[in-house]
Amino acid sequence: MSRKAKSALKKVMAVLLAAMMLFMVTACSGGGDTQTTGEKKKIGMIWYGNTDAMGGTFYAWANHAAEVLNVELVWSLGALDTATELTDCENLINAGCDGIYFIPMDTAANLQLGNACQQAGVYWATSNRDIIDDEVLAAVEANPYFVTRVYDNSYDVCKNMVAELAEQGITKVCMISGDPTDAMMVDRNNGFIDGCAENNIEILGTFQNPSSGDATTVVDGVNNFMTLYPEMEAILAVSGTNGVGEAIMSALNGSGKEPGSIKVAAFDTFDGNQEAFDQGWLSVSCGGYTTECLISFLALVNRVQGNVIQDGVFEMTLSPLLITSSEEMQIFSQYVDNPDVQLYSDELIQSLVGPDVTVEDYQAVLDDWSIDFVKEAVGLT
Amino acid sequence: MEEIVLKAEHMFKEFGATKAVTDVTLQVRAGTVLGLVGENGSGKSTISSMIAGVYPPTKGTMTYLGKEYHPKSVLDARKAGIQYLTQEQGTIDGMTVAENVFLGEEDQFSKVGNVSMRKLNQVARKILDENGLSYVDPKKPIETYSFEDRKMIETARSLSQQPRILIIDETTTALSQKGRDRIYEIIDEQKAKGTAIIIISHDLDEVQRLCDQVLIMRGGVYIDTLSGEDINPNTMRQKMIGRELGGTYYRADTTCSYQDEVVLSVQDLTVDGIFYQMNFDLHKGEILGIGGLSECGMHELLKTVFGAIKPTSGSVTLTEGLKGETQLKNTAVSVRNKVAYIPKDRDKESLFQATSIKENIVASCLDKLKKGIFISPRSEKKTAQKEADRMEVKMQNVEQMVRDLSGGNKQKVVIAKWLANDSRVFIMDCPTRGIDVGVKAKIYKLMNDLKQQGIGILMVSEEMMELIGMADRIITMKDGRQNQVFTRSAQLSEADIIAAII
Amino acid sequence: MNQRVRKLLSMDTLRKIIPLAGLIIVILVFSFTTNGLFLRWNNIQSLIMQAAITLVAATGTVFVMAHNNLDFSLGGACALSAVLSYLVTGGELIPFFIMCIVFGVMCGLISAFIHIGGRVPAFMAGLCIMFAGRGLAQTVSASKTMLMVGAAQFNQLWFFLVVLIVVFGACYFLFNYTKVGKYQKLIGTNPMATQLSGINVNKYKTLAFVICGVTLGIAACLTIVRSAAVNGNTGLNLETDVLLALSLGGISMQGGSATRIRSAIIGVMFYFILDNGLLLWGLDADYVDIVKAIFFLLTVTISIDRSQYSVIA
Repeated sequence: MSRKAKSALKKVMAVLLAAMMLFMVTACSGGGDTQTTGEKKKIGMIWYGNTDAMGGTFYAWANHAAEVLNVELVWSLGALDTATELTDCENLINAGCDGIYFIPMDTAANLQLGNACQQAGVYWATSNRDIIDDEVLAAVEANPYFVTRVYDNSYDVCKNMVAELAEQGITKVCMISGDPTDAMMVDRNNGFIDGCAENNIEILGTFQNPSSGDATTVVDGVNNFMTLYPEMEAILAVSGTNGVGEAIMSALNGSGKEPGSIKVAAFDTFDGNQEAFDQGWLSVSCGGYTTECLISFLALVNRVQGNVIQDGVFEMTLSPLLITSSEEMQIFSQYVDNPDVQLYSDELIQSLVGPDVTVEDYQAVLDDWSIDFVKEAVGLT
Repeated sequence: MEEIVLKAEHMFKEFGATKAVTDVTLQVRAGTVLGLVGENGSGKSTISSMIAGVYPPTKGTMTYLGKEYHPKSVLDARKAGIQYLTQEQGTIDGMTVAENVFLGEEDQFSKVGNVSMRKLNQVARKILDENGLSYVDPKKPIETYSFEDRKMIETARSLSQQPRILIIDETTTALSQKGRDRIYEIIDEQKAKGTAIIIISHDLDEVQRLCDQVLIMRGGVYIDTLSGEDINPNTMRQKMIGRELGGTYYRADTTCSYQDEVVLSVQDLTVDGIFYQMNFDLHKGEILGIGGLSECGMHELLKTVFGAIKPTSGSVTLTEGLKGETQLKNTAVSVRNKVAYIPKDRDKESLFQATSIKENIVASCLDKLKKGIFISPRSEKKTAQKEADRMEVKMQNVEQMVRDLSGGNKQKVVIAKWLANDSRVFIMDCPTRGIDVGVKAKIYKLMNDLKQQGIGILMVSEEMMELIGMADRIITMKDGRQNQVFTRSAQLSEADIIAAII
Repeated sequence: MNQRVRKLLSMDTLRKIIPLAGLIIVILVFSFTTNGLFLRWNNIQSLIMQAAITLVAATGTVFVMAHNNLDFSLGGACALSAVLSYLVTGGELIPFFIMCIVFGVMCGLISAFIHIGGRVPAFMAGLCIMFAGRGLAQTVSASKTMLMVGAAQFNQLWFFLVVLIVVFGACYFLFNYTKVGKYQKLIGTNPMATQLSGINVNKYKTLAFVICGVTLGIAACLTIVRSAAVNGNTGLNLETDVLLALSLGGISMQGGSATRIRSAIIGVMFYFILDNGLLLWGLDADYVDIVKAIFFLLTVTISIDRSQYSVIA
């Protein structure tokens, strides 16, 4: 660059700087009193996004609850990996948040975000993920700012699903199992296996659900079941998401068998599950996790407002709600994970924050999670 | 006298602080040829660009066919009937010949926004045939044709639009003899049709042959208008430079002289389909010229000698490389062993346009400047400054962008780059192409100096006089094969060489 | 005088200063409108650590961009090197770091090999590595938990500062004062003329990919230090972050002599400060992305070099 251009550049920069300074002085004198708006507590929300059903629903629920409880929320949307969550967490802490809520994208996120919160003296709570590593678990439990974690109780739900099939008189099943290294999947596998044992149901054959979510593998697997085990009465599937549910249905529909002659119990809901119930193929399903997020969030608000529930750490579990008929499926689709529907009343929300609230109160709300609860909440009964 | 088609009066053009054209007035008459002559940077291209609508004048008025004329763009000027042919590629790669012929005018073939390719190709076929380009297929992509064919296609495009004024800006420089002859024919035809023609050229013989009037410019200022007998190379040269040129434009001596020692030996060099079985030695202190038609393979031969093209067979041996005898297998080996290559296409093959003069000059000699792996900016600047001064590059300082220099100064930068690397062998492909006489003379003097230092120079030229004027020996090529060797003598004439290459 | 004023305000000058000016403006605006939150030491510390991964990766990427290539492999290559390194070393910390860099270089070499040997644009090769890397990382992490709890001990300012200074310092030196950097710029300006100046274009292009691979490997290490585990989402979106940040820093999209390594530092800081500051403002999450997009568009529209996009008339 020529010397002339350089000096020109410097001049422009100087003018710019001077203009900025002037602007700052005026801006500063006018904006000095923004933080005097009382003692409203700030909660930092690290959330994966608000465009899908669950994401949008919790976004709406939490905003509503914040209004009811008079706390301020600062959302940081879009993080899908631990490094980004950590960045969001640091920014939220620096923005003056008194508590941080997040879904750990992996077990290590508990450790990293927990450390950041501990260093800053900020409370934190999580939901939807269990901790599968002992070292991390120990560190989390030793963290004085850790409030609570809520995670899915897949095991019991799986057992309940099998029991539901047993009631329909089923005795011989095949099973699509989950990844044996994934803690959550192992829970589901065991739930199915133990449920079968308790109800005297024989598992004829098993194949592992492809982690890649390859639909043709699932279709082939189901066809194999039908060829190898003509006496099969039902199929248990550890997951209906990722196209697995649709693949099972397409295999059954293509088999030429009478619709409903083979029953399916699938974990999680999927596209076309209403039709599958109507046809008679699908007989049990489950879903709905947003309550976990809400309870974890409420427990965090409670702690931030100075209410200590108990000395030690506490954790809670949620069983996804069981869907056993076409009508229930309809109710589920219409009212669960719908951002426009507030299933929990303002009174209930208020009752879960206060000096006298106990762990049991929270767990009771979690345990209450069922189709019947939904019906009542929306005034169907 | 013929009707005045265009009058440009008191024209000024400034680019920032640079005054490119100052108060120039010219007029063009129907059916006559006006030559614009001057050194690089004398403003002749600037004034024709203003007429062609490339950019507006800073001040001045133009009257075209009796009306005031303010072209907004090249397309605007074209629509008005003013066609501008330059030395640069005016066609666009990736499009077919026909699409190029009708570039910007596809509308006439479109129905509801859909261009009818069939009709487009048909009309293009007709235009090509009318211009002696029947061997060109309008459906083929333009890049399948050589630079020269593409220039001709571009010319055909211009002529198809029945221009009232045709501006030919150094177009012939890039063409072979055949292409030039075709352009001369076109000029005669157009002249007969009553088209006014403006020619810009460095080839003063060409100007003498073609022009009815010649306008001389120097440093953006009008100098003189010549006509009749006054249009001869000597008068023009004097007016252009503003002083008498000595008799030593080329080498003064007329004897072949070089040392016995061979520096570069080319044996059985063949690139299939281009040239075959080339055999020659370049000696210390020798200028070895290679002459031929543009397509005879001589340009590719030089590239192959330098190592930029892999030969099918044969070898190029440098006798005194860093480690004794060295095969020039690739450009990196050549440059490391102090071989220099000055390509024909300066802008495309040897210059870093949007880069400073300094970086251009030191590009090939960083190995010399580095200490460990560190290259100090100070040593770069010093080297660049030294070589630029030696070549007398006209510049503000070495940090100036090369793209802002005139053609002659660009070539000086290219040569400076190789001087900076202490080159011991120079391979030059048309080293004075598109360069004004002043710089040409400087380059000839430099070549002579290098020769005196015992440096070997291998030179290809399309100008016969240059070969005769400079080379100790001239090898002629025809259709990719070596054909005759001429030794320097006072009797050697252009006709002798032309007879050998055609 | 009139002319000088015009020159000062010309698009060209504006284009050159807008990235730095924009950064300064953003810093000043946030300094004065966040009640001092922005300038708190903790926040500055967080900013440095957050920006480090992207900054390290971007610094190496400048070499590839200087010779007119784009590297789209970064995110996937980051996951790939981390996963492979974990598989090879079993998560032992120091060997893991070393192998990360080795595999990073390997990714760079693969890009270079496909680009040069196969005459395929490097961004295509990069896309392949990105998908392959992401795919492999997800497959492996689906059947294996790769926790690296020990790495978390390095999640401290001094470590990030040391890495940043060493990487940026070394790259700054290489880029401006050695053949490797200088030749990248020449190749970016005119590859043909570079070859005909006796420079082995392929060799120096490959070297650029190697440097980019080293910085990528280091970025992968920092990612693991930040996230304490290797999984399918390691280094997610790194490539877009880097390219966006470099654009914000005013890097020349065609490479060449106009390429400056400072684009990396200006752009990455710009990018992270914007994120950080908007959050400190407490701007509604729904508007954050829109505000960012407007900022990016403005900066890039003004600062991009259009000389290569001019239409031939």
